[in-house]
This record gives sequence, C-alpha cells and structure tokens, in this order.
Amino acid sequence: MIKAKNIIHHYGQDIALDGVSLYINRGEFVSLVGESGSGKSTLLSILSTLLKPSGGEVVIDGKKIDEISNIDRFRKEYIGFVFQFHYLIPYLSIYENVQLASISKNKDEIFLLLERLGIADIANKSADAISGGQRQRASIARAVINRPKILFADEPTGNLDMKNSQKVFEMLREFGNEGMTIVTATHDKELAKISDRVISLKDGQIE
Amino acid sequence: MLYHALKALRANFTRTVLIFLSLSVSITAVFLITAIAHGIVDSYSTILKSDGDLIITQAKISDTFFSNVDTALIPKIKKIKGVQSVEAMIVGASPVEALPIVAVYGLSKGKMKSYKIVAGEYPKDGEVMLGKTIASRVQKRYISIGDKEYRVSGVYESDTGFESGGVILTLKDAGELFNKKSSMLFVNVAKNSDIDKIIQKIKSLSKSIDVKTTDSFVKNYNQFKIITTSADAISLIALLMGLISIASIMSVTILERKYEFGILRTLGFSRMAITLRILVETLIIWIVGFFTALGVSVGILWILKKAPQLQGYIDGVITLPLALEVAVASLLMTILGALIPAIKASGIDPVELINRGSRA
Repeated sequence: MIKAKNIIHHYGQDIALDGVSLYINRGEFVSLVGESGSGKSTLLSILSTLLKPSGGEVVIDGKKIDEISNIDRFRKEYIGFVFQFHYLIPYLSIYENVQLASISKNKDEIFLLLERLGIADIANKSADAISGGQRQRASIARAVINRPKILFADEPTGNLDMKNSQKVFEMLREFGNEGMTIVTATHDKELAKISDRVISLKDGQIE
Repeated sequence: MLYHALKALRANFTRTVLIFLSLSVSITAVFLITAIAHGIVDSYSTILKSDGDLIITQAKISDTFFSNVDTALIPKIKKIKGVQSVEAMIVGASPVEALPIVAVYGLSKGKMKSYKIVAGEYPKDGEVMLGKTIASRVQKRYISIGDKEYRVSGVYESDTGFESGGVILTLKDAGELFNKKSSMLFVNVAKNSDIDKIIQKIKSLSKSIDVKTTDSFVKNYNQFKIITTSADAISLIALLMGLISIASIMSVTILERKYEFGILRTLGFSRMAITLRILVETLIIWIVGFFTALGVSVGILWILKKAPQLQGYIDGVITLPLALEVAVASLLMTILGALIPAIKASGIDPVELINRGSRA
C-alpha cells in the first residue's frame, strides 16, 4: 500500500530523516514511535503527501506521489489526517466541519458516522462548546468521512487524558479492522501496542 | 460556500466591519468627488448649450471668465448668410449683499427671455433679477452687487444650480461691473446651413476671437478638463487607499486564520478553491459596502444641494453610468486588495499544523 524507499529529509543543515525505507500493507495499523526530534512527524508528513522529501521515493497504491498530477484530488480521495490539535473550524458546527470535508455531502452518512463516534448529540454545537475528547472524535469523523484508503494521525492523543486516548486508539483500531490503513505517530509506547506493528525511529533512522 | 462565507464573516466580526468601513468610505469618497465634479461641468455645460449653435469667445484665453468679446461684432455677424440670431452674455462672480461670491450673468435681451420668470419682470438697466435660490436668502427690494445698488425686478427659476443661485443684470450693467463688452456670443444658425463656412466667415471678422460649435467648445473647455482630471486623480487616490486598507486587514485576518486554511489543504482543497473562498467573503462585503456607499452618497449630495449656505451650486447627481463605473472600479479594487492575501492563504503549508504539534 505504502512504499518508502531511502527517504532523506533535511531542514537546512539539520538532517531529520536519513535513509528511511519501509513498506506498509493494505489495512495494516502501524505506529511510528520515537522521542521528540526522532523524525516521526517528518516521516508522517512525507508519507501523507504533505511534505516533499529532499531525497528518496514514496509510492502509494502503485502511484509515485511526485508523479501524481492532481495531488489535492488524490489527498481528498485517498488520505485522511488527524492532528494533535483538532483544528476544527471554529465558526462551523461539528456537523458542518464534517460536511465541509465530505465529497458526497450526504446528511444521513454524516450523522451515521457521528453516531458511531458518539458525537451525534453535539452535531450542532461549535468546537468551542465541547470537550477535548469530543473535539478529537469530531476531527476523526472529518478525516474518515470519505472512507480514505489511508488514515494518518500525528500524536492524536497528545492533548487527551488516558481514558480519551485509549478511546481514540480503539476507534483507529476499528477503522483499521474495516480495511483502512492506519499510520500514526506517537510517543506513547503503551498505546502503540494496540497497532499491528510498531516502527521505532531514532535520529532520523529506523531502529 | 456562500453560507460558510457568511459564517466566517460573522465569526471575524471586527475585521469584517473594518473592511466594510474601508470599502464604503473610499467608495463614498469616489462617488462624491466624481458626482460633484460632473455636477459642476454639467451645470455650466447646460448654461452654454441652452442657447446657440456656435460660441464666440476671445481667442487664446484660459477661461471664459477672462474673455472679452466686442459686441460691435454682433451686427456684422447677423449679416452672414445662415445666421438667425446672435446673443451676448457676460459671466462673472461678485459679492452680493452678505454673500461672499455669487454668479452674476449679464444678458442681452433675447438671451434673457430664455429664463422663466416666477415673480416680477425682466430687469432693465439699474435692475437685477434674482435666481430662486438666492431670492429665498436675500429678501430685499434693493441689493448691492460689488459697490453698486440695484433694484430687484423679479425672480427666475432654473434647474441648474449655478443659475438658480445667481443673479441676472442687463448686458450694459454687467459690462460696467466687470469692465467688458461681453464674455461670449451665442450664434443660432438656420437648419441645413454650412456651419464650417459660417465659422470661417465669423473668424474672418476679427483676429481676436475664437469660434467653435457649442459641442466642440464644451468638449475642449480647459476648465472642464481640469475639474474632471482632478476629480479622477483624487478618486484614484481614494480607491488606492481603500485597496491598501483591504489588503492590510485581509493579511492580518489570514494570519489569524492560517490553521483554518492549512486544514483545508489537508482536506484536499486546491489552492484555487481556498483563494475563491476568501474572494467570496470579500465580495460579500463589497456588495454591502457598495450599496451602503451609494445610499450615503445620494443622501449627502441631497443635503449639499439643499444647504442654503451653498446656494445650490453643488449639484452632484449619481447617474447610472457613474454608478456602474464606480462599481467596476471598486470591485477591481476589492479583488486586488483581497487577491494577494488570498493567494498567500492558499499557499499556507499544512505541514505547519504538524510542526505546531511537534513543538508543543
């Protein structure tokens, strides 16, 4: 599903990734773990098409990402993204935030998903009016509404307590069980155990 | 997109109000400057066009106020084949009673008859006829113009602010007041006459005169060019100030909303789609700002026209072509002002969203 070959990336003189190669299977749940500065977020950005690497090659579903003509369209159809911060648009309701990302704009489909994530009752509330755990579930709903083939999550539990963190990872696990490929970056090695495979990074290299 | 744009504008209320104010103030300024300038030009053009196919002025003068044409030419011009009538006019300005400056017209008898009397009669030597606007302010039987006193013979009305706020004397009295024979002569010609030939014949009577058709005179009158060019220049500055204001406020707004645009990029929104979203928000403000400015401008022009202190001299009218011209110019200003910040917003790197998390 995702093939990364000899990925190199540097910010000026600082090397963030130094020859990383990996392969992630379709439907696999992979956690990238490592200390702060290990390169896991940079690797996630590159694998999710948001960042162009200084060197190396990324292939998703047989397509070289630097050869994809309409990267925006590809991102919309193939990729979902959950950040450490929810980044919900503050002036829109939870329903509208999800609808904004939806390709079909189907109301029933959106409500079914919100129900599944346990946030249908707060669909008309804004992000400011709900709890941190609910916000993160809303941002997961927004990321998966188009049934992307791959869901990337960068420190999705970074701002949550243990109970909510557990819930978020269980949700990711559920989507993984349904065939979605999940790639997450986390510093929490305990939570990472929920995933199928853990890849440890240190100083820009796979350990 | 429209619904989201309206919600975004409401959510960023202060910025929305600031952009709305920048837009409506600059559009109002353009409307007022242009309408007043066009009003001055139109009023004077109406006076010139009201009588006569040809206008004779002194040659090589910068303004009709300084023109002096010898009325002795009138009988000679009348003899030219095709000429039906010749009338003379003096245009000047002088203090009238306590009013510091009032338009004073000296007219030959035939020209005077074109004014509609609403009270009294046309003036004879030693008499003055008042425009309706000025008559309402100076309610006396005798008034002083300059250092002379004249008996008020009657009141006339005119749709032109310059005329309604002015006074009319006989050509002789005005000539003594301004020390000239006439400012200009108006020549009426018979239908199907050879106008070019008549112009040549009149020109051959004196080297010190210039003869033009009325339309050509109005089009080439230097004062009109100066007024309209100055108005255009000031309008352009007002528009540029609006543009700079919009661009700077939008830049701050976009900086505040950078994560919103970053997340749209990760959701697969193209740069074009993000630029369009911002332009739609700005265009909504433009629509409200334009019509507010139009309403405010019409109101201000009405107040200026009715203000007794201004004697009706300021008679600006917002015509449909003017409204369309200002609409197009302000729309371009709005798009230009919003475009650069919008393009900047569309280029926000979504990786910043990840980096923010990494730094936390």
